[in-house]
Amino acid sequence: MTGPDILQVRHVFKAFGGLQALSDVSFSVPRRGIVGLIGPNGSGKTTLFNAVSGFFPPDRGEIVLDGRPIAGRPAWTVARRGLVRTFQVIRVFGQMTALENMLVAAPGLDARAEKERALALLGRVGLSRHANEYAADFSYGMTKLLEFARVLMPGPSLVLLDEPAAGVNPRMRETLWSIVRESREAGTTFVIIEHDMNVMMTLCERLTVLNYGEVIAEGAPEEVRRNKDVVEAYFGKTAERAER
Amino acid sequence: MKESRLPVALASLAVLAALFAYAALASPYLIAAGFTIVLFVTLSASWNLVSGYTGYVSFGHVVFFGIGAYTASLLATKGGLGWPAATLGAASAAAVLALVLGSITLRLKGAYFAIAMLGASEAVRVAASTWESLTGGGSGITLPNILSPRGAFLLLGITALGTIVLTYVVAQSRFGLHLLAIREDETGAEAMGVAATRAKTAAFVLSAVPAGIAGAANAWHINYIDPESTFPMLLTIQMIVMTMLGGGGTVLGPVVGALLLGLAGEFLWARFPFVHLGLYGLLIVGIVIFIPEGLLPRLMARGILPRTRRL
Repeated sequence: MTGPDILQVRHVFKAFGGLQALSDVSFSVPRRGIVGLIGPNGSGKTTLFNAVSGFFPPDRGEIVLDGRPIAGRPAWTVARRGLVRTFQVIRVFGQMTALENMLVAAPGLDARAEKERALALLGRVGLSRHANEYAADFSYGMTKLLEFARVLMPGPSLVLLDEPAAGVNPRMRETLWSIVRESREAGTTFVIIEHDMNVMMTLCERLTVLNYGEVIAEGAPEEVRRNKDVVEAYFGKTAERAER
Repeated sequence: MKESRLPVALASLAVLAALFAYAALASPYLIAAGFTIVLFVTLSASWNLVSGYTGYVSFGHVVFFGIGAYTASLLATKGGLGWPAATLGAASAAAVLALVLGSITLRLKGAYFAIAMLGASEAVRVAASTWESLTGGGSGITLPNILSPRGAFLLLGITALGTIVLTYVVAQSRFGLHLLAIREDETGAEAMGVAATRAKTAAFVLSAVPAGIAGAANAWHINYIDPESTFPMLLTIQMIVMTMLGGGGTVLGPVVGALLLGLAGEFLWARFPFVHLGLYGLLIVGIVIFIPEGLLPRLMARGILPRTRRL
């Protein structure tokens, strides 16, 4: 529609009290891409997700989704414009069934089509048999899978995944990543926070690296892996020296 | 998702017929007792519609009952309207008040919302007692007898039924799912595109309407209102306890709670007037400790009732 990038983040700042959580962060996400967001704990990855998805406004800077500015818009408006996300801390609706969880996120088709879509997605993540069980009775891994299925329910154009595979068993993890690839083929764009570097290297076409709230590197996974600043941020100076 | 609504329609018709039969045949004492029961059912179901489904616990829901009573009384005495128009006026006033109050208080979370609503209901009560030129202040308003006790019972009985049917329709709808999602996790709901503030406010307005009609019906029933009897905090507590006993966020939970506590209240009130409130307090403690989720959800969890939003 409007340019090659579905999301553009330009010079975004966010401070919490004295802590500068995001400092002049700029990055863009190509349409139908899979972009990885990496960095040490506390580097600002989740803060960036929160600002982009409307959970708090940035102090300064622009966020443009599909050519329309969304900085400062409430989360539900951003979601309705096609940008949805998952959370590091699980946010499924416990006293609702898996199917009801899915239908909350439904795109507004007719009831039967929505139910079919919901059941198909639940089947895709291996939760068919549990569609009518309460999410509160699910294991941790199952709730992660439910949340992952739910985020795809509205047919989003851009999905932010915050550590979607944490706590999911290895086999389902593979399934999860292959669903990401398939959905991308079908036109969805992904931005993923994930600590498993092997996954990030193979899954993502581009990586953006944050450290202390700043973008310290950006590019193809191979370039990023060789970047000195990145190695230093991850392993510290000692490791860097040891490598030399 | 939509299952057949025929059984619900038939059950509603049966209840409607029973209400008419009761209104025609019951003795004046039974009409008065029945009035108390349908009053409790209406108010609990009304409270449940917002607090049970969204989890926003209102400690001031009686304000809609009170504003309904005053609006109806003033429209009937100073406005010279008949009871149908005055009752409609009461419902509208409650809805408008809910829209105004809700757009302010529903931005608050948890205890802050509960306390804000308590404050709001006290403020309206104080306004009713001090604005003497309009409300007659503490001496209240005496009403002409414009609707018989049987008529008032029927009006409120139909309102109770209507509130339950409304709850059923909401519970089956996407809107109802959104309300539950807000109760479970408001942030998560917003992330999935639920316009939480809008949905909460809509539920609040919907829930205020039956409470406003109940205030009007109560005024027609007793022909006299004053600030103390139209804004009693005890009434809000009763709505909360009855809904909690039966199960909040279910269609029939408030009905079960209101029937049990309403009948127990009649029975206890008649036998032990002095320990009545103490027993009430014990009951609240018992509910919180033993069945915090309420009777219906407990029976659903045990597999005795089907787990469905239809109940």
